[in-house]
Amino acid sequence: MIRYILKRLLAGVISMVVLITVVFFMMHAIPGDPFAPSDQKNVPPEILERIRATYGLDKPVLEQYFDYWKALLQGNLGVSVRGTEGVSVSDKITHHFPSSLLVGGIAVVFSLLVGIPLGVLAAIRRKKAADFTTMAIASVGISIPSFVLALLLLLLTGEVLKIPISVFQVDFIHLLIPVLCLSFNPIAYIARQTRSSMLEALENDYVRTARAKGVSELMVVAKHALKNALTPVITYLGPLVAGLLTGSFVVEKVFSIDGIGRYFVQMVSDRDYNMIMGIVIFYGAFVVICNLISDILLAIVDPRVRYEK
Amino acid sequence: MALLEVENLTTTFRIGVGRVQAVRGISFHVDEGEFLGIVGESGSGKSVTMLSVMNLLPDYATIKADAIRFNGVEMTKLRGKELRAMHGKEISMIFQDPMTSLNPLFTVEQQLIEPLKIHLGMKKAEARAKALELLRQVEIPAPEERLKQYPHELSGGMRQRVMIAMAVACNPKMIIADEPTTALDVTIQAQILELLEGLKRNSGASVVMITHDLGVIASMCSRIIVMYGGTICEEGSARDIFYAPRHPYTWGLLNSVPKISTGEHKKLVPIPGTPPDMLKPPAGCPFAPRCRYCMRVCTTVAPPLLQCGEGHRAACHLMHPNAPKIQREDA
Repeated sequence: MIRYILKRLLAGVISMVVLITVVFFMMHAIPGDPFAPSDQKNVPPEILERIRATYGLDKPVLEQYFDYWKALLQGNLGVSVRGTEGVSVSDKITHHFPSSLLVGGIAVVFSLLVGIPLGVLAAIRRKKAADFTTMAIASVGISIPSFVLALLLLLLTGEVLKIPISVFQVDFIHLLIPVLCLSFNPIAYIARQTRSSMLEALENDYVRTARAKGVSELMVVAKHALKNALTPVITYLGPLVAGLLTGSFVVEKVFSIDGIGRYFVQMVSDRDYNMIMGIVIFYGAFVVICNLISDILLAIVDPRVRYEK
Repeated sequence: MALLEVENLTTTFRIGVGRVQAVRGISFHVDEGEFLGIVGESGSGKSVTMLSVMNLLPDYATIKADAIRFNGVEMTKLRGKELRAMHGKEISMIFQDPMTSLNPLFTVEQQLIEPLKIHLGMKKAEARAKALELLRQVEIPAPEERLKQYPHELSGGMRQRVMIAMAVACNPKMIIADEPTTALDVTIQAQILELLEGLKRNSGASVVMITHDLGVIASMCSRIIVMYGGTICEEGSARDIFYAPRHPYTWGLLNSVPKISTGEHKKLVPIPGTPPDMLKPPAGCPFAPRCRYCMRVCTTVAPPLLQCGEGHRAACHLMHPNAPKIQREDA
């Protein structure tokens, strides 16, 4: 088990190094930089030079890369090159992350609580009305893009229900609508996944064994089959949690949530190098950690996984 | 006395292209404390017959029977809870493939104590002690460690022992063993069969052994039912079946068993042809297309099961007084 975790950790570290390297060079490969003379026509060239020197942007890219690593290994993500002077990247992340975490966290719990039971229901009522209804909604849920859904929900609350939610605040309705919007797609995915793996699990010999022992139908489904059916859902849990907690650009933009997803897009168009790198590292680490946790969960649920290479 | 009586059992499966008639109106009984063998090739309906008795078939199966009486209880009338109270308590079942018949995500203990908790109302500690005793009974080495292990950590033979322990946990009156040794090595097969026989002797339960291998049951079964094409073609004591078989299919089965004890090098005689298509079973005797003694009547009229001795029945037109006298040719 410890070997298993160490292996996963090592793989995570390697992914992070590759991620940082690739993003760093891709970012610099785009012509210009935050203080390129062509973008800053009102600033005298000498001043631009001095600003660029302050941030080390005048050095060769390779040197900047190693400088970045040096700072990073000391836990320093640098300062934002835009906006108020000298605000550190980590401060900005800690400022914006909580809103995304709140909305995303609720969405994760909501997706699981709705998605899994719907999938189980569809599986045990296979080819009946409940199955068809659930799967029809799930198909819509998987295919509808979040920006369409977000706008529809905004229209519904604002125009039909007459509840203005254009300014985000922490209360029931202001959380409910973005959470619905964020979890619609994962619910659909989880429901479909649970249904198909549940159907597969129910076909297994050990389910017949359980029935032959006199185990009640509820326990056959909820204990013997569901535990097996949930393994693919657990695998999906890592990317899902990472994706939802780190914020969605569309949802945060539409519902004016001051979260990190929305902020990230703004940083990219501003060419704020340190901010971009900081958020990429934050995202990356988050994905790696969430995947590690879901791998560990999987190993706890399925003892066979622990012995795999 | 008969423990289980089945009258006119028909089981069909709805599939895309039609209805598969897996079992076609068979009647038989299982005596108290007897070791009954049901023999037949794949698709003969032997497993489906016993799964129908247990009512453990998937929902696309339709089970019809005039009666399935177990110990005086009409099984066809039982639903839900009443049926589950029989499963594992009165009748239990051992399945063919021990690799897939145990739940991979639960320990041996968790799976073993389940019937004890359900049927005997045992608390966890008591059930664990009993589980340990059961593992000793099925002669598993180091039973304390086995309890904590998962199925994938055990060998096939060991898993089948766990399945057997689970089946005998609540002292059932009847144990159905569905090809319990088919998936195992030959050396393990013998051990498992011996174990089953020993357990049966000690508990006095009836055992129904489903197999395609006459060799497996030759030494242990008191009575044998031979099935073909969803029907019973011959039924009798082990002595009847092995020394005085009346049905050409039984002859064919016996001729296709390898004999190594005699020292003679005889060629195995296979039965030519393939089993009937159960979507459209033949009108006459199901074995007729493969039977070398087939007469005209065989293809149109299904032969009834006729008495041909004390407890010995066979379904073959050759038994009719006017039929040509044919002796079994020993291959």
